[in-house]
Amino acid sequence: MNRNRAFTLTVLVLGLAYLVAPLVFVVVNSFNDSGYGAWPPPGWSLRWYQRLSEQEGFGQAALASLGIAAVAALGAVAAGTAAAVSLTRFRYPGRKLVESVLLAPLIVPKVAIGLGAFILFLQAGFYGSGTALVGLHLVLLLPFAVNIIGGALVRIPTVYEQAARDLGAGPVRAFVSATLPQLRRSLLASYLLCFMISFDEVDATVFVISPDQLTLPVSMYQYLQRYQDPTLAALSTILIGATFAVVALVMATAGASALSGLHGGKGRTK
Amino acid sequence: MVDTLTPSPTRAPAGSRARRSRVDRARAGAPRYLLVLPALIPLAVIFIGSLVQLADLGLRPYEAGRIGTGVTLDNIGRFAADPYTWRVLGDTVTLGAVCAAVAVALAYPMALALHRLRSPALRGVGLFLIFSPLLTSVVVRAYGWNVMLGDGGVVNRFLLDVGLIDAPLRMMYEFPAVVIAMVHVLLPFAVFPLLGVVAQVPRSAIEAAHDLGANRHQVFWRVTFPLTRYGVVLSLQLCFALTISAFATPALLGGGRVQVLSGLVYTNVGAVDWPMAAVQSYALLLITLLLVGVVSVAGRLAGRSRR
Repeated sequence: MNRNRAFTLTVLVLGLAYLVAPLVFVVVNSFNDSGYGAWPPPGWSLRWYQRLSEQEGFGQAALASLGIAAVAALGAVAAGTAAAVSLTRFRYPGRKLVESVLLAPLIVPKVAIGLGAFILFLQAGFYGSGTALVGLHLVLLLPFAVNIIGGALVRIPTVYEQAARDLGAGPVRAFVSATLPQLRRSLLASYLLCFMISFDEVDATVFVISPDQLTLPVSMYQYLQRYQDPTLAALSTILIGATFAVVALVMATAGASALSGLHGGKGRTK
Repeated sequence: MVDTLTPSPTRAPAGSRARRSRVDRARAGAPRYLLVLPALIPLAVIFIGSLVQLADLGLRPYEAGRIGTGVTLDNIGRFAADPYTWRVLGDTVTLGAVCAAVAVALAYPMALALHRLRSPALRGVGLFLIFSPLLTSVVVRAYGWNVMLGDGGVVNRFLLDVGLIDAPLRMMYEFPAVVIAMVHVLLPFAVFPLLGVVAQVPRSAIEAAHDLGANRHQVFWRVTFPLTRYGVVLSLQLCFALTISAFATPALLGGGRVQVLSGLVYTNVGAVDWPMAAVQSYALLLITLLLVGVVSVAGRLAGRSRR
């Protein structure tokens, strides 16, 4: 192993430790008897879990967030796939413009999108509805879906699709039977990423949300501004456990490599 | 930002391009536009609609607690005349630049190392860990850092035990705490575009450079880095944009002492000064567009001078 390799590996390990540290700490702190996260913990207790069970609203907010994330991610992946096919398989006037518009929500500040959407929804009479939140999240997710699926499509050879067409299949059937199976992993990866981003979105959501339809991260944000006890640590430990279980399930059924689709299936063009 | 999906020569086998474009032309027609519509319609309605509404709002007169009718430039004048806003704007841009630089400087070697890992299982674990923060709410991570960086937190405890410091460092509600927590949020998004470009550097180019007698540094700076520069720029832009519009993390770790523009926007929304909030949002948008414009022009000039 040369020095270069040792350096990058060290950075990788340190970087991963930095990424995981707060998660580990949150889990440990959820059992910490001290309300201020004193370190080392003076004792262990389950009282934050008990306090969590007494909190009303978190459950409802969690259900709302799950629903919004599930629908918005589905919409983003479906619409994003269609758009990615159009962008990668065809050349036409205005293609660059379309692509720029599709990716624009990624660089436009979320406060601007959030505040603008709030006014828009107010005027259109959608403010406070689930549709409004799903619509906002859909817009925020589309660039990610288009990017991942487009990246994968660029690497999938078109010969199979052409062969299917030559054998008499229509364009839709050729795509579904020749290209879609190769896209499966990227579709799953982009759905998961979109779901997680939506489930966690605060910066724009906080503007369009009405007091009676809080999402989970927004209600957690509001809780944290009022109280600083480990009740949230207990809640997130449960969330971490649940998401790890889901990811483990996905990896067990779709193969460990499912996650590597997150950067567009890395040139596995057979 | 613009040509992410354009197949580059390294991606598609050269021979197939001419043939494919002929096939594309043969079956081109309505579908290419129809396929974009499901994505474009919500974007046009919600995204562009929001920005239009925001512009409209910024031009409405603000009359103590309510929004009037008509068109005025007063809000822009109020914005420009307030030195506090300018200071916050400066802090916001600084925070964005620092966080983007730190995140990409950390993400680049991580992406490279991950790519070089030979075992697919290890690579899977690495990828999972890089994306694992996304499994936890930004709010919870802010709480985690809050407790870790506190005076009696685990970081101070460790530094005291090791003997690096004599008294607890005051980190909470200061600039460094916001950077630490913000980079944690950014890192998965910074690694994301880099993984793609790092994977596309052809091994043969690196081997050729070695064969021609280049040392490791020369290979990196003259082959690997230029071929991945596109991803670096993309990553920097994304991190900068995410940081200057982030709201929850700076609010929870800055505790009001580190103020960013998105925080002022939120405060003004609460204070019903929506026109001012709109002008401030547009200021953020303009800064981002300016940066993206400058970076892409610079990139184009650099690309031209290399040829």
